[in-house]
Amino acid sequence: MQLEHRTENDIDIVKLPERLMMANAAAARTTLKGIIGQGNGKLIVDLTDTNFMDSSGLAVLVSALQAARKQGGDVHLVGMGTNLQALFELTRLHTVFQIFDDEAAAARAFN
Amino acid sequence: MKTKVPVAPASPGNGRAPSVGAAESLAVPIALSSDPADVAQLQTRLSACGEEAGPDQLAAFHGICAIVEAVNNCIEHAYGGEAGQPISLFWERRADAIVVEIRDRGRPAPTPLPDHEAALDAESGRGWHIIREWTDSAVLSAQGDENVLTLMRRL
Repeated sequence: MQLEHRTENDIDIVKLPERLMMANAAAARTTLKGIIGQGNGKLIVDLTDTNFMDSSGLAVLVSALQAARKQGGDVHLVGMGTNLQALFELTRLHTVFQIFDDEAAAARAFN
Repeated sequence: MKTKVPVAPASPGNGRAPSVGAAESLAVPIALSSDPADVAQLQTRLSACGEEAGPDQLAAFHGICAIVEAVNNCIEHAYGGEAGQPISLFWERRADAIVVEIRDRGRPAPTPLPDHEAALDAESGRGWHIIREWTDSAVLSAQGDENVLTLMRRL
């Protein structure tokens, strides 16, 4: 699965697609783990375009978080809309991930 | 007047309900197969309906999430991930609620249904929690060889 990906100041920045659900979760998981494995574990996930996610999508992000933290890094989320915010609050994942308003704030938090 | 959407397949041509990709109204039975791509198509259609729902987009999102999770459960648990198995969805809009019935012919779900939240760091186990929290009722029953999950959300 092709995800928009770039690296700035040793931080990987990935933009997720419009929706992340069972149909594309396995591919997204593989891609994200590949990016994390080749980097230093610092990952910013941009959710600006993502307006739907199911529990398969949440599982992808949890999996990425675990992989990143194993490398001493973390996953910072940015661009979360109202719907996803509700989903993260319902599942209490907003207490697990660090969530930022924008990419600059997420990058600063790595430093 | 309450109108119950017929449980029997409605399409006379092939004996099956309209496919999920068709452009017909949602107020009819919808036939899916146990393929994640079908769920993605369903989500697209439901989202389009949700956009017509007016200002309460978040409520629409809640309902769509619950339905998607329920169909995901059919695929993952009832059919063990086997593609090509039948799932039927019946949509009924009442004066005071939307009722969605989801039927599969796979393995029965365990009873009682899980009512605990997944551990925070768990990768899976959030589906039922989402269904329960974002519907007003979720009732599972067996009817013949079918598992029937009835979701209701008040308007």
